[in-house]
Amino acid sequence: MMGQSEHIAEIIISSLMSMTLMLLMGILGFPIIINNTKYNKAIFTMKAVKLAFFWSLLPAGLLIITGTDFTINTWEWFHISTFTIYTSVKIDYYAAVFLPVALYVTWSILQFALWYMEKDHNIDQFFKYLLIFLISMIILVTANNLFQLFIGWEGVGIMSFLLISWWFGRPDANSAALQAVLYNRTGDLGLFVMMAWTMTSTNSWELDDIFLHSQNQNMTMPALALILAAAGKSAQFGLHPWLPSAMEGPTPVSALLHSSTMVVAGIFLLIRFYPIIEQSKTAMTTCLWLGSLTTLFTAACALTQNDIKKIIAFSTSSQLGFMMVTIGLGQPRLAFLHICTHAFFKAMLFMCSGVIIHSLKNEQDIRKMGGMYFLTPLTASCITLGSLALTGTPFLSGFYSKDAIIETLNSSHLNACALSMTLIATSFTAVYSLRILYYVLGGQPRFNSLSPINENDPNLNTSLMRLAVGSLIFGQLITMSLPPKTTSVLTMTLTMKMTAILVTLTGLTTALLLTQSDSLHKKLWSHLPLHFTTLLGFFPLTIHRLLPKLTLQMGHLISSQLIDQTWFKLLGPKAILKSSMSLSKYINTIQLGLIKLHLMSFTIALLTTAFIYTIMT
Amino acid sequence: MGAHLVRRYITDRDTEPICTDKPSFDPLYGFSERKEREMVATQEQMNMAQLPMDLRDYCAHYLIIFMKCRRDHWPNISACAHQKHDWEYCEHKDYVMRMKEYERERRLRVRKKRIEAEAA
Amino acid sequence: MASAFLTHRQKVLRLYKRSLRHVESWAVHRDKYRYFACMLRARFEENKNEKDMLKATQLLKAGEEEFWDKQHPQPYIFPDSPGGTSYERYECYKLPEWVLDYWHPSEKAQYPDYFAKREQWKKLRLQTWSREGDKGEMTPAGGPRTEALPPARKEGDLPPMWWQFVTRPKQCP
Repeated sequence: MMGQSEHIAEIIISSLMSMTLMLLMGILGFPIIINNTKYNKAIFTMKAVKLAFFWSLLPAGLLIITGTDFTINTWEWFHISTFTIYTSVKIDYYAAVFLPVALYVTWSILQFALWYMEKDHNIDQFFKYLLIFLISMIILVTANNLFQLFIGWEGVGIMSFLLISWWFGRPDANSAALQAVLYNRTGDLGLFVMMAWTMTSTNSWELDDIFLHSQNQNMTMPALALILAAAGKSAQFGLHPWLPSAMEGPTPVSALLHSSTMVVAGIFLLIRFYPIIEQSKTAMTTCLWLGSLTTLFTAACALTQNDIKKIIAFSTSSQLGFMMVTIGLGQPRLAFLHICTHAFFKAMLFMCSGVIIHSLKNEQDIRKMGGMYFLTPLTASCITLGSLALTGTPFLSGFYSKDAIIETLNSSHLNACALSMTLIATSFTAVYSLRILYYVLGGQPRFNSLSPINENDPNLNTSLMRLAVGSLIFGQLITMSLPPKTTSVLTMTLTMKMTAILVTLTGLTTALLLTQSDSLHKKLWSHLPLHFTTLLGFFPLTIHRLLPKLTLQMGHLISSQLIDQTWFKLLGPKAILKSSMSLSKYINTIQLGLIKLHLMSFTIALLTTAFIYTIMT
Repeated sequence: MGAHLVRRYITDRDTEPICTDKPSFDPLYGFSERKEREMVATQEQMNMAQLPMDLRDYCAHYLIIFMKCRRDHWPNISACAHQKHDWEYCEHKDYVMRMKEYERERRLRVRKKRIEAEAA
Repeated sequence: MASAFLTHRQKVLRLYKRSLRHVESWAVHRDKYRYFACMLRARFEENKNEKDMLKATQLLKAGEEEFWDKQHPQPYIFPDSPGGTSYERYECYKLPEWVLDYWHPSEKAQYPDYFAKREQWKKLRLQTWSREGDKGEMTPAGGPRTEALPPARKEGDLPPMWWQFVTRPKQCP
């Protein structure tokens, strides 16, 4: 039985939570609403996000002390006969930890964008877009209700579209934005199915109700629908080509949306709905396979790309696949931990690539970089740190999630093929990270000597260093401070414990050895495997051309054969022509002017008249 | 991972137990003095400590001490290393015990098969 | 490629330049690139003095086929060139210059010098407008024979479409 004082404490804490959330929304909404030219809106937005970050530490701190989740049901939104939609907010472990992480990363990225988008005429609009995106993300993360979740889900989708096509004068950017929208909509079908299913089977969109009512039902269908939704948003295999294309957007957008926050929304959905996924073996296996396929394929693609942003995008895709594998392993908490740590170092990697791109006058090809280690020391340090964290170097933040995932993976009894694919992808991580460092930082400069290399802007320096600090200590901090919710895998042999590091080192050494052997003047051209991965496994080519081509052929067939040839020609003018031709031929014979015919028609008329007359009388 | 998989799928497909199955032999077979394990933490204690359902296992009493220590020493996150180690060590021993049970199950199955083959 | 319009020499030169660019895409480091560029140059030099056109054409065809076989799947493209990463990126910031004509007089009054000059340009443009589309002056009868730009009209005259250079649209620096 709960004591009176504890009850009051609960009420106080939960009202504190809702107040925090409202304040957070107020702080973030303010820069969108105000229209005062006195302030620099971009800086104002950045400061609002900063303030919101410090506010969001409150729910995280409360969660760490109390270790309990909070659900706030505020009011009934509307009814549809027996179906009620509430607004309810959930600040549980996931939301309370993700909020500060997202706000911290966004704060840094906005500050970075102050420098990166400095020359842009519409910088205020850009910041507002980012802010609206952030608000949608917060709605998505804190939603305790499918409807609210859907609002946030679509909100981030539409902001992704707008931000990818930021340079809308560029056809590639527009097509990339459309691609993102179309792939995301494909995934949304899954969310629609899920919403329809819950509406009919559980008569509620509240998460708790859904979990409660789904205990004794076959959950394979809704679970697969959720996986489809997550695959669309998180660029899993089959729906992945939009993520590398989305690199058409400005670098801050890539850093915020397409690495750290928006793309993890899909994984976040699966984490939120883990009680449903868990009930279906099929869904778990699908997660495992889909994830391992994604992580291996995209890691292989990342190996041979030459565009620095595309390499990082593919590495993001690979990490998303890795998170999906973790869901398939039955470890949503570890997947969530990986989301959080990944946000730090991936955002930082993107920012570093942005610095380099900006310094080299929009040059994105790593073949034309080199020697940046001496020219931009801070960026070089940060990109190295980010790559090390990404490969899971011990005691950087990536280690705490990645190592735990690989340990769990090794000691699990699940499908060994999928698991070894994941391990191979892990070794690829080291290879493509090394490749970036090797080409960008090392060697001789291969770019134009008149590049405006400069990293002295305080906005740039502080934001990079802030994320660097996050990448250094966040993993340690979070694993130490958060209360345990599941037992982690603790018992294993030394080999298993070292697998993550061993696999990474193997990849690294192999890559270095191959580079050494390649640096001799031997052969320049290689064929199929390289073409395969450079052209993204021919996947976009096939999918993006096959479907339009089939549709085009079909449309051509319909419009030319069916409509034009058949309806408009054969049944229209041709039919009239045919009937009138025979008629006119017949009439033609009458009109020949022969006296015989005239006489005959005269006789027929006479006979008819006589006949009618006889009948009438 | 490797040895289990090889036995499970290639060499001993009929005797290798699936790890999600329940043990099929009498737990007291060959261990007549063996006692049932005792749960130290009571249901009420675990409720009061608000332990998550997944963690209400045989090591829950260590976890309760750890959680209490965490709460008392917040925000010093490194204060409860000893308590955490106690809990994790208990979990480790639990894991080893479960692995031993698994191995027992496997060997008993192999033995049963051998005896049946000799009898036939 | 508009191969019908090109001379043999142009075709060979273009093949050489494209091959060089693709070698550059393959061989990242400059030392390696120099080595392969020299090898490529030597191969082209080998048949430099080929007089027999039939054989030369066959060589060219073989060269084109080899190029196709060994081309880079992702050749390096300059950022500002078509297909590059910042090609037409700042198009969205460009405003057509005629927008200035619709400014309010009070706004125009803020930049008196520019608008005074602009009025003169507009007058000059009206004068030269009729000559701009004069094909007879720019291209010989029977269509263009080379791909080079049309020659300047007259010594000291304004270049064709000159106002595009004078009134440059607003764009990202």
